[in-house]
Amino acid sequence: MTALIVDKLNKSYGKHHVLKDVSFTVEAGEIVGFIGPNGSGKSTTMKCIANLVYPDSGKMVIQGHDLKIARRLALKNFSSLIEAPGLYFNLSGRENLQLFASLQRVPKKQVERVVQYTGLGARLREKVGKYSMGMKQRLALGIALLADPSVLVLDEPFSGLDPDGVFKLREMIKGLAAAGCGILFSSHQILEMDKIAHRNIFIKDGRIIPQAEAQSYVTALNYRLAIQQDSGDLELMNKLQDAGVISDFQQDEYVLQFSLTSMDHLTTVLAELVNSGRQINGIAPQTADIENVYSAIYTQGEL
Amino acid sequence: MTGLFLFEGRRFWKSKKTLVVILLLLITLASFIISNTVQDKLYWIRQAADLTIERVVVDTEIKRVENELSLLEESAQDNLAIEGKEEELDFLTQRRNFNVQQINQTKNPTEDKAMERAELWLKSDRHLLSGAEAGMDLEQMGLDISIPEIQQRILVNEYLVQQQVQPLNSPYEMTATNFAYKLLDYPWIIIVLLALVLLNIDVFSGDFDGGAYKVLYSRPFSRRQIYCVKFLVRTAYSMLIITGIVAITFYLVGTVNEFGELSYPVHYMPSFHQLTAIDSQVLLPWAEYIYRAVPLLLVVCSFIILLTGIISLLTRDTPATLSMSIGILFLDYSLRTVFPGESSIFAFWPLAPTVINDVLQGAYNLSALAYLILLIIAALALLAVGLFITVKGDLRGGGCN
Repeated sequence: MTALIVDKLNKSYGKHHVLKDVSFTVEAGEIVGFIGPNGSGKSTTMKCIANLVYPDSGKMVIQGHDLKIARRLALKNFSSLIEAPGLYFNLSGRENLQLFASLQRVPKKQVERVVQYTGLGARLREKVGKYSMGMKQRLALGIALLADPSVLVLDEPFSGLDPDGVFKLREMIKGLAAAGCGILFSSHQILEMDKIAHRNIFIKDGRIIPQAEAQSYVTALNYRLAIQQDSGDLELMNKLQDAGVISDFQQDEYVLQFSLTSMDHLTTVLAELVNSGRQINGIAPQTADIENVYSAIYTQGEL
Repeated sequence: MTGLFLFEGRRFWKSKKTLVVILLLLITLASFIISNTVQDKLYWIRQAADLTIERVVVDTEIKRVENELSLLEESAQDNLAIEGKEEELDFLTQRRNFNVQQINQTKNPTEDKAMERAELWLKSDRHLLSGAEAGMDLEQMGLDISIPEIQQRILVNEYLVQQQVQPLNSPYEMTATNFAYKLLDYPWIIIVLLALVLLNIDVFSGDFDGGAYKVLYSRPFSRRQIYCVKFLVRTAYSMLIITGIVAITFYLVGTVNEFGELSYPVHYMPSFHQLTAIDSQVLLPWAEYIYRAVPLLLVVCSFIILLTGIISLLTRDTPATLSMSIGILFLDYSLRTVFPGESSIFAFWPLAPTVINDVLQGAYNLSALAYLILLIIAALALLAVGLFITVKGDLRGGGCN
């Protein structure tokens, strides 16, 4: 069953069009990484799903229930943690848990389970205002888990967590997904995210980058090679680009980086470089890890 | 829905602020009682001083009139003038007699002599009124009192004497009934208003201060439900706290001092059913007066809670809500200081009816009924504006790390 369907979501703040036909799905038991730089529309999308911000148009379906038509059913087993942890700072950690538990009529057993999860122990008696960011984050996650969600939206859940906290959260997310919970989450720690995400979706300037386009970045990166050489040859590389052997190149004093239009052209490029008298000291293929993909999509903007 | 009620109720009672406000309320009520008790103790000392000044002035006046009379008699020209001077002298001598008796009474102002005092003041005021109506200049006699004020005092003392109601030792005596009456007066009513403001400044902004709104509003409740439950719970608990504390204080004051007469006369503008306060005042027994004050008080309190709530909703920031609310109360104080009660500005100022006694005693152009209707309309308008903002608006911001 599809846990979450977001269909053609549009949202503007004044003249600023923040979300442009944002569409994606999250299946039950699936962990989906939601990637984008600040201001790309991640949080706005998540706030729309959490019913905090109303989209101008579009549809959101949670567990088969349209958020607009059957909000109560849609949000029944939904939880979210968006941006900074949402807590009452003048209350203790335990009071916060009990407060939100009373809102959702959560049984005491479940509250105690969440208390264990937070790992805050005796510090739950302290005022939340005295907590570190990591402690607040853990408590907020605990509150998000009170409802035993089948759809979970997490915005920057690793923020403020120590390595142990990150590890525990990763395991918790995996555990929830294994139990059938569909999870959409974003993080600037994309390596951590990539470790557990079944797939990633990218958002840029309020628009979801289509899967095929995202794949093209990955494919192109597979052909991107770095060659150490003693000196560059601008004329030769321009000639190869004009001939359609390479799609682009960058070079500094010692490193030449280029993207092949096809892997078959590798020998051609190497031969041309050797024939022109270049000394090749090493060759290293670029890996298509998430950071490189991110860099390709958001930093370079084009191949 | 039950979860929402539990949530908001728990949030209200768990907040340390609620406890602080209860303590503040108790302290200010204690200060109010102490202040009035001190005023009560000083009342007859001040009265004695005023009466002594009056006697000196009356003595001087008597000498002046005696001199003028002897001059007139020597000349024996104008019998009418002599008659007039004789009347004046007679009035002043009578006035002096009352004055001497009143000064004697101030030396031992015990409770058991209260009825005697009322009777003497009744006679004295009747005499004063007859003189004033005959054209005597009260100001020249050192009396700073107007004819309507004398008439009001006569009305009260007549009621007390005729109905044999135990008079108050002074207007400041802290019997339980007088405590309740004075609490409806300016500036003491501010204690109640401020307590209501403080209890409700965080009704909406409290959710935004720590970002908890993101959890609350993403739960399976409609925003309309959240909005209504918040106001219902806050209004119920705020009223409960105020009523409870005032009732306890009433009981304590009654036990320590005395409860006072339920039939004690209170001024009242009877044109309640009309839209403008046009009649002259009558006297109502205290119990009946309070019975008539309660509906207006309830509407005023609900309006203050709503107003604070809407400010809290608009600012989404508790300190800003507090500043704005206190600013509005200060503006109210300024308006009352600058403009007289009859000013038309009070027909438009929604906080005008917060001073219940002023409304019920016809201090403004509008009647209590008119204010009741206006306040209900204003409260409904506020409720609608708040609901619109809550239901239609995006929820963003708040939640510092």
